[in-house]
Amino acid sequence: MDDRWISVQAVAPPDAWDAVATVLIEYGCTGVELREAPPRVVGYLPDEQAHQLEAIQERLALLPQFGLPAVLELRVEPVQAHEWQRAWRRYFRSRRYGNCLRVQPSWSRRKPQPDEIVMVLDPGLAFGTGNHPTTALCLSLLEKYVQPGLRVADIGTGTGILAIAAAKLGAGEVIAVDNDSLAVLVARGNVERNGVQDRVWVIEGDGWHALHGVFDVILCNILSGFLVQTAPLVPRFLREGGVYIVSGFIGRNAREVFHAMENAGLKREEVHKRRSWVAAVFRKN
Amino acid sequence: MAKKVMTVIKLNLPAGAATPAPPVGPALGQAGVNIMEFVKRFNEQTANQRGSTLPVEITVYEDRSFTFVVKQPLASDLIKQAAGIESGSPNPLRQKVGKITREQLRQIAERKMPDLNANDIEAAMRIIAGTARSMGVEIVD
Repeated sequence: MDDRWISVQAVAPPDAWDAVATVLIEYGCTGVELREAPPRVVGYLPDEQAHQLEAIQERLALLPQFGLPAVLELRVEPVQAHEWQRAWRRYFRSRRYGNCLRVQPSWSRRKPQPDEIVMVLDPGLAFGTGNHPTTALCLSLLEKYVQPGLRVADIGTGTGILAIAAAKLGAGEVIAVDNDSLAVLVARGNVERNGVQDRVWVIEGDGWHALHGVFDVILCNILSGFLVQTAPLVPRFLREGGVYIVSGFIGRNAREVFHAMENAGLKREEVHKRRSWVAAVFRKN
Repeated sequence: MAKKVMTVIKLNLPAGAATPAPPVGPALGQAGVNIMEFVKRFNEQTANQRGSTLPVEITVYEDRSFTFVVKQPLASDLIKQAAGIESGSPNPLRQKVGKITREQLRQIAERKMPDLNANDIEAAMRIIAGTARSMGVEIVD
């Protein structure tokens, strides 16, 4: 991951913000932040885009000619990424899900209860700490559907949290796939930390195309667009009677997801909601 | 009792395509918000507007939970749509790339009015007109 950025702060009244943001985005910023005191638009350029600064400056200097307020100051500073990548760690705490699963950050010293299955996680920048409703919903569903010895796949594994939970619940083999190389590294670290590397394989790959053979349980906690698009692929990777556990979509998009699954010949077993998020289980008969 | 608000973060982000990279990372990381959680929610909610840049206002509470409101796309996106162009001019002083009518200008100003600092529609139209010209888009009657 690229760790070096340049922050570009354009001090200007709010009337100029949309125009300033447009210029910054056009020249390589992936979005901007708007701040007060003084009012300013803050963009970030990857270090290797530093040559764009001159063009940005020229374009911003033109704004008064179009009847917009002038940019009063352009402040450019280097930024280190590691500070913000760690900042939120303080707020990730040990928590219990379903009947017996506990998710614990690697730096927590909490002692497990005798009936608990503990997963130790270091989320880094990958998705899935259990704090998100979709992860929590999937953990509870895993408790219900994963039996000892089953073959499980986890598409879009992120931190590996669901794959590790499946292994800890007794799955015989778990294939975890993610297309983000950073997530794959994070997930592999977490798999080892939990001592399940003999049963969990983390693969960098393009979703379903990375899978071989059939599975008893397949998990996919991504977004509705992906679920809908890939629905037709699901049956060929599911054993007769196998289940597909999906989440990552909001209530508003649920119908579209359900429709796609039913079109693929899968039968809806159960649906759960937490806050605005939905998780559902489909079965191949 | 309502939860205590710790801070409000304002960002303009690509619809359906936000990432943990800046500006999201530094802004949310400093506030103690789980970055990926926000990214996932934002992308899921805005996937159908891909191609636009959307202003989003994130309210962070004392317990680090958050809510967010997505606003109207950037004026420049609405202007591009109205003018039927893909991008603005690289040299807006000399090279004009499109036109919008005063009526289109008024419609955009009306749509953006709640998010702008303007007191009346005329002031909002002046801001939008300036933004249009800064992209090489002319206003015609």
